[in-house]
Amino acid sequence: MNKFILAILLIITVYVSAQTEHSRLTNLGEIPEDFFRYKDISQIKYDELDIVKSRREKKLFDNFQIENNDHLYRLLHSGFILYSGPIFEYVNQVADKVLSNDKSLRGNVKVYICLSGAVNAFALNSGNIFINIGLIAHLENEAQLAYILTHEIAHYQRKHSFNRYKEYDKIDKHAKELKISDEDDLEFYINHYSREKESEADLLGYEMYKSSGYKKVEAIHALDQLNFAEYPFENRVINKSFFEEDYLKLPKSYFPDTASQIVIDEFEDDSLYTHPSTGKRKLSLAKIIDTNDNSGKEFIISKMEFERVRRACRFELSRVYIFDRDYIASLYNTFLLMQQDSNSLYLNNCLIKSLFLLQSCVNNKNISKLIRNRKKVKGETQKIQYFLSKLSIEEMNALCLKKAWVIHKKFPSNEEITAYTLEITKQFEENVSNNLSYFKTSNEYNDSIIASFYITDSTGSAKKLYRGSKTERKKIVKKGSFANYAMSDYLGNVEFVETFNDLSKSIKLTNKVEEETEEDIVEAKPKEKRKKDEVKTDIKRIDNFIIVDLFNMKIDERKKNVIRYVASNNKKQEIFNIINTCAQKNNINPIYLNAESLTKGDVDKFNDRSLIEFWLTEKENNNLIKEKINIDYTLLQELKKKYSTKYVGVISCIGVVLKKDYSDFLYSLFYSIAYPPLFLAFGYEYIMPSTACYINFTIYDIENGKTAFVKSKIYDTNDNEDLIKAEFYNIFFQLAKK
Amino acid sequence: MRQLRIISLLFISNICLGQAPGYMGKKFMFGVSGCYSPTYSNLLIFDRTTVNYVGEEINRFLAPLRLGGGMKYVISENRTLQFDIYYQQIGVSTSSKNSSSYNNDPDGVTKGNPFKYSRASFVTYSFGLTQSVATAPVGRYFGSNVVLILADVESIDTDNNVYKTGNAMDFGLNSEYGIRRVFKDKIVLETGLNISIYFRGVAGFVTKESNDAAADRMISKALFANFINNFCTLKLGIYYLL
Repeated sequence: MNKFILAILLIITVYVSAQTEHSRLTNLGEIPEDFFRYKDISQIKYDELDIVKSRREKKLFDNFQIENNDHLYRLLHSGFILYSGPIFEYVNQVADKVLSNDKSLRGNVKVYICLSGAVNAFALNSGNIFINIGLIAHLENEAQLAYILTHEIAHYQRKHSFNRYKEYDKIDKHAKELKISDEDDLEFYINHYSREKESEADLLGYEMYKSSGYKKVEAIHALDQLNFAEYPFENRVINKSFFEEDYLKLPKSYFPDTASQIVIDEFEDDSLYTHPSTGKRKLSLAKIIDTNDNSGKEFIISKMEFERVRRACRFELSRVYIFDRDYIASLYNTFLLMQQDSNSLYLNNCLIKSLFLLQSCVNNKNISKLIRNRKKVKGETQKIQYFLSKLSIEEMNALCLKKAWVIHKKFPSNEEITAYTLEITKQFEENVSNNLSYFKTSNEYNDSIIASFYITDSTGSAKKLYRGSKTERKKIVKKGSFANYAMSDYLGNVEFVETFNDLSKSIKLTNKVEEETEEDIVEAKPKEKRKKDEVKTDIKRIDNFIIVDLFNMKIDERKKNVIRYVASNNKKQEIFNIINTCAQKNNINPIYLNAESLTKGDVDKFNDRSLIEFWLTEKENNNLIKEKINIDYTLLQELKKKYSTKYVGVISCIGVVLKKDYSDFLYSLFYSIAYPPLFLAFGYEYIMPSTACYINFTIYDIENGKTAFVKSKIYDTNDNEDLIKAEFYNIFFQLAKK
Repeated sequence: MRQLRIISLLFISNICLGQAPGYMGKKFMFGVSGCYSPTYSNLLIFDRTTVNYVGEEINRFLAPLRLGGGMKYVISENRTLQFDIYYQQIGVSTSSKNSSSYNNDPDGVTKGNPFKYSRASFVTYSFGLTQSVATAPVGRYFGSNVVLILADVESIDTDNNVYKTGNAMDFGLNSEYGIRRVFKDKIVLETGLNISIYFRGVAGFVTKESNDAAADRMISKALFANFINNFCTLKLGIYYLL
């Protein structure tokens, strides 16, 4: 009896813990040895016995493993990799299961989780396999995950990564015979080779998979999931009611009842892809699988665990999509998850963020860049795209304002939601109205009034959808806007009214200051033009800041392998030492979170770095809007307190040896004969290699997302130690004297 | 004089404010340098410039070498102030095929001129500013200098054992382009190309320093030779960074 009660209690505990609030996926425990092994990229050697057959191949293999080690090291420290936690552990348990008969192979294979929304997994020659959370979110059961793993293990076993590299070299060498004129032709041949290897991995992977005890037919079902790689994990009907609230009723014409069906062409032309079409892959598998054989299990480790892991991945996707600037995907993903967890703080947080970012896009008139051609978008997300294309600036701002305040009301004490609510309100006031009288009172509202505003005018002049189109769009005549009623029920809310009025005053003040300084800005412009290489912003002295990334690369355009990996790797340590010396000389104490300075026990630093990397990646990719609030607001605020600094620095140094241009050689010769001293000068120019060096030093303010300091310059000299020392000393000198 | 003091004060205060980063905080350097113009160029223009004042041929490759020393101070992020002193001695032929009409001598200048060759010594004071592309003093740079030259010319009539001297002053402008490297955080190596124009050197043939035509001719030739020698030179300097 006691055992029975304990079992029930255990189940309840597991269930309750499974349904707990999701939070950002991070790592726990010591950083694995793998993350440091590849620091010296020339030291790690792979087993080459089976694949290297000639001296040329040996040279190729050496180059390959250096490149591979470099990529692997960068990837492991990119901030997008999970080496611990429930997802990592579960996936590794499945890997243990499928390789239970081959312990030595299991010892060589290391599976990591990649925080990417792409439905993909990949294997490297070093035995590192990466499974994206986007892929796990799409899978139906553990057996499918097991098959994906065996497929990737097969890639590793057959050294496909190196073979592809070798093939690339071979095709490049025979480019003339194969009539390859450009990169596209080369890709065509390589893709053909890749498809062959994918098919080989499918079959070899299945050989491993079939003995693992999982349901055989799930191997084919796993491939089915790849058909929907471009779509959300589910295609659930979304209605306008998701966006509606009390007094916020949307016109019917803004939200279509149906969306285009998702039609999958399993046998599409795959000549431009690295993978064969799913139809072909399924057919080749079907030849060796008895589709009526239902033996084996869908779950061996645990169904509950699988669902818990998949749920975590799906939740994380809402966040990942935001960082990938796919706000519509994030919105729809959040909608799907909210069907079960509508009160989830995490999901509401994601919802308010994606709404804020969409609002910013609309206000910056960039929303069209997010909306793809409706004919190409299938499924329910098409409705959101259509809806967004219909909304005016006024309507979008009102919609976001209402949703933000509703979410804020649900979670009044949440700092991040409050911050976003404030920003959304501010944007509304800046772009629509900063007067509360804009909103009509609730007495003036009735459900039919909104419908009466948006009447399709059949008598009015019709417009063609686009030039040459035969279909015509019916003109919608607006006699009012739902925006005016959106906040009717909040006019009595003291917090809303006070916040709105306070922001209104501050906006008026800001405008006044902007008007006064307008002349100064115009005068300052020529100065900015003159110093186009270098942009500085006014900051006070910076005593410390976080160095999150140190990027170094040496490029030699004259060589076949343009990137000099080993030299870059060695130079990185030299630059790191220079930075340290220069900082010390100027009494600045940087906090090093870069990969090179981490040790095994620095898991907190590793997670913090991951957080900043996410933020920076979004920031660098985001050319649509300059948001005034950070996406990971709360986490970054905590980071600021933890390190007692609000500055984050990113350092890059690239040295390039350029190809010589001999087009002016005859002129130089002529001038040299005419005036001999020039002979030495021109001789020097032609004998010595042309070089360039690019140095970038950027410090961001994590409080407001702005760039606090930038020095970005290209020098027409080599990346010599003295140049780097002088430039970095100068940078720290400038930071210290402010 | 008062204005000069104010200007000097402003100049010194600008330096003392310490707004220049320098190289790892080091801003002052001193050392030696040399400028060299290949003899080949001289041979094209003057066939006998590489002789000493008694008419003996001297080393053609060493003749156009100007040696000196100087100091530099980094005054801002990219600018360096510099002061150099050079010394050079060359042999000058006062006869020239190209100047046969000189002194209205239809039979040629050298006929009856006992002072065929002279020896000229030049002390050059150069003061200027260079602008570096990177943080001074490292990297490529270009700059301009004002130049003051003090020339001493001497010649001897060996037949009559008569010794003649003369001196003159010349001004010029110099522009330079080059590259500086720092080794071991202490040694600065400077290589570059200098182009100079000396005002009186350009107009050397019409110089009139005294009532002595032979001395004037000597000085004119010397200033002109100096201008030609140093019009385009290659510079190499080694400095110690403090």
